[in-house]
Amino acid sequence: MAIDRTTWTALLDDDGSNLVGTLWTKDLVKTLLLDPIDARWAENTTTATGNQDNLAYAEADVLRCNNATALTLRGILAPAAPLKPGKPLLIVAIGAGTVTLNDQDANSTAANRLITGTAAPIALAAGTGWAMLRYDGATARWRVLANSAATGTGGGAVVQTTTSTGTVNNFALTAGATLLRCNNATALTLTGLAAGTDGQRLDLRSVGAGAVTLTDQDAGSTAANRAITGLSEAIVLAAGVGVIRLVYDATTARWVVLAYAPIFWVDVPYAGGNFTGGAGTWTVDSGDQATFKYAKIGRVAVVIITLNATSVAGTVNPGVITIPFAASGVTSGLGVLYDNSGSLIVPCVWLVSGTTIAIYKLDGSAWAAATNNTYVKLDVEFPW
Amino acid sequence: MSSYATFTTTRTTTPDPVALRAAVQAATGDPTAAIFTTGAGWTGKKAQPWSAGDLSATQTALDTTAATTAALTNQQIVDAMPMVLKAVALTLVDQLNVIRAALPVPLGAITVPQAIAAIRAKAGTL
Repeated sequence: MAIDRTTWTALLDDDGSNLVGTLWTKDLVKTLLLDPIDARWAENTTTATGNQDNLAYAEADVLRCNNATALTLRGILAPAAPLKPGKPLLIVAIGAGTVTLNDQDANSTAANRLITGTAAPIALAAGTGWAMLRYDGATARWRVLANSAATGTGGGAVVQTTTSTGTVNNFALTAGATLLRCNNATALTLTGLAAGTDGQRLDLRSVGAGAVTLTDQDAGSTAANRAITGLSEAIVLAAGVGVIRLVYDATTARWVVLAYAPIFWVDVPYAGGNFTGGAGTWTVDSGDQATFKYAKIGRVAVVIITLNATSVAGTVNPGVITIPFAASGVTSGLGVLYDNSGSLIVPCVWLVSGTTIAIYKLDGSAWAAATNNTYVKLDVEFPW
Repeated sequence: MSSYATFTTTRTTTPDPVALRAAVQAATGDPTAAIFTTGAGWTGKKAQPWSAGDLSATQTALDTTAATTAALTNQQIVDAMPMVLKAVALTLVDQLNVIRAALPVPLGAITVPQAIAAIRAKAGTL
């Protein structure tokens, strides 16, 4: 940034002689040297709201936005010539309204426009947001170097905590929020969140005593507030654990789930009807079901099943287990089966199709009829 | 309605599962009784509710049934032999029987049970 020479130039005599003949007084020094510097190092406060074009700020280094309602800066006056290259400007949102920095907004004079770096507006949270700008003399634009709405790039965080429970449509997300802590005492279902700015990241974390469910493309919320989970179904965070990371995609006007963790096992409650044996009868008692659970990792599902001391009558070939969701296509693999033939668990073949897992003995023969002497252990992986 | 009971044992060896099952069935008088490990302990299953005598006798069976051995395991593998392996073995026996019958002094055929028993016995010695 060039040093402002305006005051220095004022010290020159009309005849060009340097400082000759000038009567120096304290007032002259203050007026010509100190005041202009003070003005530029000072903070400037605005209470403007609404859309503001070519905003004047007295070329201060700090612009404090004490706006009662939302303020949108569509342009800020470019600094005067001596300050133009590299002039810094810190914008802080200290009011009750958000402060939005528009990108390349044509409502302002070209040289007064801002380049946000994301080709999208940046929303600074009311009372806490900030943005650091410098003036780029070559391109004649303000450039946003950093801001509190950015995540992972040196920006700050905006944390919001909710204790809402039940089903909530169009959740009132704080502008620029980066973390939503769900401290819900009972179950909370979010069908949508207030639309963010393009590229805004949001971590949705379960910290309460109730589970948190984010539904997929739920018509309960306004279209632009809905979430795309990528699974065509809801994501459920168990009470007190887990995070869903989302990004707002302004083009599709949806929150999009980037990831969620950890992966949770879902226990399948015992139901005798989940186990059938074709022409025969495969009886699995409630106490026989040691393990029946699944987890979905993206579009891959893992099902773990351990069944002890089950009973077979008639011609069971294959034994069939019903699962609570459908597979995509047909997948097969190996499991183990104790088929009343000695004490060993031997390999068997499982085949997943639709909502069933069919279990065949390797040799294709029917399961041996036996009471309390058929064991099954499967680790099944398949796309869904 | 099946009835379940849980057991723990301080033994450090793995009981032979076939012998244990037989012992539990004998101890409870229930020919369909079963016992299996669940990782943290053991679970017994029988058709009728467990009496104090059933619990005590099953605990004794769990604690005292002979440990499984490599020989026993080998024999149990033979018991659970896949059909295709059994077919291989018995095809060889068939050919052997052809030779035995063609000897100047023919020998009697080896039967299937004899062949399987011999394989099982051999497995128990390895």
